[in-house]
Amino acid sequence: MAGAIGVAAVLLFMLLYYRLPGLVADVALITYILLVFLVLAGTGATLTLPGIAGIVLSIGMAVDANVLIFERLKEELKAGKTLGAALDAAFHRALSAILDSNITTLIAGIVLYFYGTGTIKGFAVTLIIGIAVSMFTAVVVTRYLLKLVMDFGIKNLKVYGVKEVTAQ
Amino acid sequence: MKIIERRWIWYSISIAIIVVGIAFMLIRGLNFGIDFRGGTLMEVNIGKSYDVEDIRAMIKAHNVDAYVSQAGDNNQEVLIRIASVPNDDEVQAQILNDIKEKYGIDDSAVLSIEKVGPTVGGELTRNAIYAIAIACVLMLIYIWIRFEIRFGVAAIIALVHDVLIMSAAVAITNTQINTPFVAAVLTIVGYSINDTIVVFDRIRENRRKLGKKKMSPFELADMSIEQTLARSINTTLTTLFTITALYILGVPSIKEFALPIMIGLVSGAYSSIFIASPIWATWTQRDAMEKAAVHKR
Repeated sequence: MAGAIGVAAVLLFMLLYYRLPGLVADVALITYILLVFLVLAGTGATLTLPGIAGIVLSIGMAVDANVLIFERLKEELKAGKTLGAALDAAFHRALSAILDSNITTLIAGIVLYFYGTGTIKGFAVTLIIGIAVSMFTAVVVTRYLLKLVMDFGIKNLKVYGVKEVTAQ
Repeated sequence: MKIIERRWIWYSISIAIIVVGIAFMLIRGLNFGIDFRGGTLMEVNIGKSYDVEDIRAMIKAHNVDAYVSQAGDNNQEVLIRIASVPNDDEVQAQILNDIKEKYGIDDSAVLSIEKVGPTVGGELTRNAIYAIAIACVLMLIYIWIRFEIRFGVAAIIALVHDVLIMSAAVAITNTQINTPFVAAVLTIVGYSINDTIVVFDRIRENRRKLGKKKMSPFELADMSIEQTLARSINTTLTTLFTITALYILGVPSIKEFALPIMIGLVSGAYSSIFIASPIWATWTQRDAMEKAAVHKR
């Protein structure tokens, strides 16, 4: 219950701050949460407090991947790139940050899984699942949805949170 | 923004918090809970629905630390974990009496009473420490390969900083320490390294784009911090949303887990900008100057 309210606050924040991409991120995030619970149910894992911690952390990382991409998208759009080119550049540039940051955390998760006991193992499992799923939703789902939105002809830069363009 | 230049301000803030925390640890000690001190586990069948807050209030009157949670089908049973106190048996009998009186039940309703040792928390913590140490070494190697050794060492120092700040925070606020605290530390270890890498990734990219000669490491770091600032704030804020909701609406055991995480999140964002980046910049600057000095000779 408390978790649901927290997630709702995150969804609202993303929408208000990032506008249209925020909405896309929200869809990706909901997909992400559903996928994580699906995988957890599939593996028959029970949720302990540390397990919840793992999920909270991975939700944070899923949001982070989206935030990284959107901040880049804004930068590229401000620099005067067209929507399609800006989107490609944003994903290309954000990818190294997303990969490196997630892989380092993944390393921690895997070590904890092999050396941890009891609840720590539980934490590691949810963290590993969370990171894997969040990379997928951020890189694949968000990208696909953003492309879709752009193809629909939503071209007004304001909805992407860009106020002015400083063309170079 | 001149963040790196003012690094001693940021270092001092962190050192001050950690010193105060250590002072509290030495003077008052840490507030270890049942997982580390051992205690008693009781299970009572109330036989009807009840308000768990009533039982919490009853136990609180005896001045002992306890976890109370509902259990069983239809939530008619109660699970009580009491941290060890000198007059264990007496307190435990009194609490049981209170419960029996209030709900009009007798001894047959007491499903189990067992003593638990402090080993649970101790062993878990030892394992966690080993695991974190191994993880740090592997992360260092990964960052070394993908970036360079200076980035790796700076990231690990920031990580240690965050764990120290969290420990200081629980010492100062006298928050009870149980296994959830260990989980909280693990969470922040994962988060902090993630956050630091994002700033470092930007430094790496800017350096590649602008070339090593044009900008000093100080300028490079300041610029990269500025460019990633919106992302750092937004990511920390959104994660804080979920965890603050858990803190405000959660049961006590979640609270003592959420508080260190909230502190750790802020500390993790802070250390990426104000600890890890200055360490990398000053180190890189020094190496560059030494190299230049060698060239001159």
